[in-house]
Amino acid sequence: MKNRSKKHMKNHLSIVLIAAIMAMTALASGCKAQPKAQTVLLGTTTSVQDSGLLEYLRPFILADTGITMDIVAQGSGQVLKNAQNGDFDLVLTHSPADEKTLTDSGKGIERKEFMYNFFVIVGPANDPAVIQNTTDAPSALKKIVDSGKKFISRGDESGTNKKELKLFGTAGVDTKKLSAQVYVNAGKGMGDVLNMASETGAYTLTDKATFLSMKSSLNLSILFESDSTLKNTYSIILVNPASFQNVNKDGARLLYDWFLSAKGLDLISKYGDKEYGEKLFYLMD
Amino acid sequence: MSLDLIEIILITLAVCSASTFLGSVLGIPAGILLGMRRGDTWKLGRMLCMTMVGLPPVLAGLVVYMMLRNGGLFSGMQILFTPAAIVFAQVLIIFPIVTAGVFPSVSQKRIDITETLNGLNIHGMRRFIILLRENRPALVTSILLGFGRAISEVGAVMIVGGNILHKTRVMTTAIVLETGKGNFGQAFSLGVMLLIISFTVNFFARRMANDHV
Repeated sequence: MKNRSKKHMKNHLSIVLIAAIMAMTALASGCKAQPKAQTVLLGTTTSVQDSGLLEYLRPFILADTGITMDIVAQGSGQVLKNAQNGDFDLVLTHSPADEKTLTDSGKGIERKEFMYNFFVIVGPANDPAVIQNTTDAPSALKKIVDSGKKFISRGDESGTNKKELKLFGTAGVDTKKLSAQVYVNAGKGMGDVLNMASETGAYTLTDKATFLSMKSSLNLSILFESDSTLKNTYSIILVNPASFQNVNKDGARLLYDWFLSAKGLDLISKYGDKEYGEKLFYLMD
Repeated sequence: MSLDLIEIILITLAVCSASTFLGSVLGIPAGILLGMRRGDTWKLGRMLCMTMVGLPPVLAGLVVYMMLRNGGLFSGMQILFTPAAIVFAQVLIIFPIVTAGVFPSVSQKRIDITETLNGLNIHGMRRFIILLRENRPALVTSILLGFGRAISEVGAVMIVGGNILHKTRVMTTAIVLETGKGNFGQAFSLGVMLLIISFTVNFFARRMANDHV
């Protein structure tokens, strides 16, 4: 009998303990979600996030504006669709056609092209499709698929994916008619696609920033670059607070202005020198 | 261990504890109800519950996402891309798992217990507490099963949480991110840590419950 009651006491103690731990942790998570006023929900592309630019800017932004950025990284297509629905406060993307859809609908305002870099075509160092000496990016892509070598597409309606489809279009190639052996529709982010290309000895189109940030772990080389058709332009767009009342109007405006301020632009233009030995983003003229 | 990593682990534990707690608070009474009642309606309830156990987590994530976004059923809560959204999705995923873990044990002991309880004229809250006590091993297993599902979930968490650093980045989504960036070593060590946490939680939960399995 004595033993039994002792056992029960131990049970009660354990229940109280578990409840206390859960309550404490739930409280902790609740507190973290609290400060909304100084938080701006920024929808951006995987390429911007993977490049490390925003984490580099974060402390400066916090010091100057008191804003904490909550960054959600998705493909540009997805980011802009979510912005269309008012799910972000501010977006930073690189898909001009989709961006225009957003601003035309009035759900996005004050679109500003403010920085750019370049897409590059990467592949195995020995360049089996011999694209290194082609004259322009569309012919380089055409040469890869014509020679039956593998090309991996993001296939996720991201800015990079849209760019690639546009280039194939210019070259007169209908990617839907290519065999799955040649044109691989991965449906994944940039990092994953670079890993896939590296593992399978395939080619892909990537923004230079992401490639440089992952270069050391990849068996890939830049085989084609510096073509004006490969320019990759990033825009910043405010989600229209007149359309969505939940948008953090003041915070988004403050952050938008900071990005376009002399100090913001200067920091952006210097990013990459120290980390990768070359600049990752250039400012618009 | 870096500060970011510790924070990711703490967020993971906080979110998963909260969803396991809520999932159990809902799931255990539901399991006892489904186990004690007979008849076609309740039989259908048990079948539905088992179906929900097979619910693909990403579908739960998508449903919660659609409910929380602007114009959705619960858009007024304003919790999309916050830890609360993750808890929401995880509760949806583990609630049926806890329920399904509880009701078979209750069913099995139903006749004996009902006789005793009726004989002693025990009703209401006391009856419920005795049912809890009598099914303790099944309850512990179900809660741990729920916790295991919550902590290992990735698809739904990615969709509704957004993988925001310092806020909704949990261990599984961090693994996806690091793998995507080609940092396999870091991704793998996160995975090992996840396993260690899972083991520790199981070990202490079993010990506390006096379960010598």
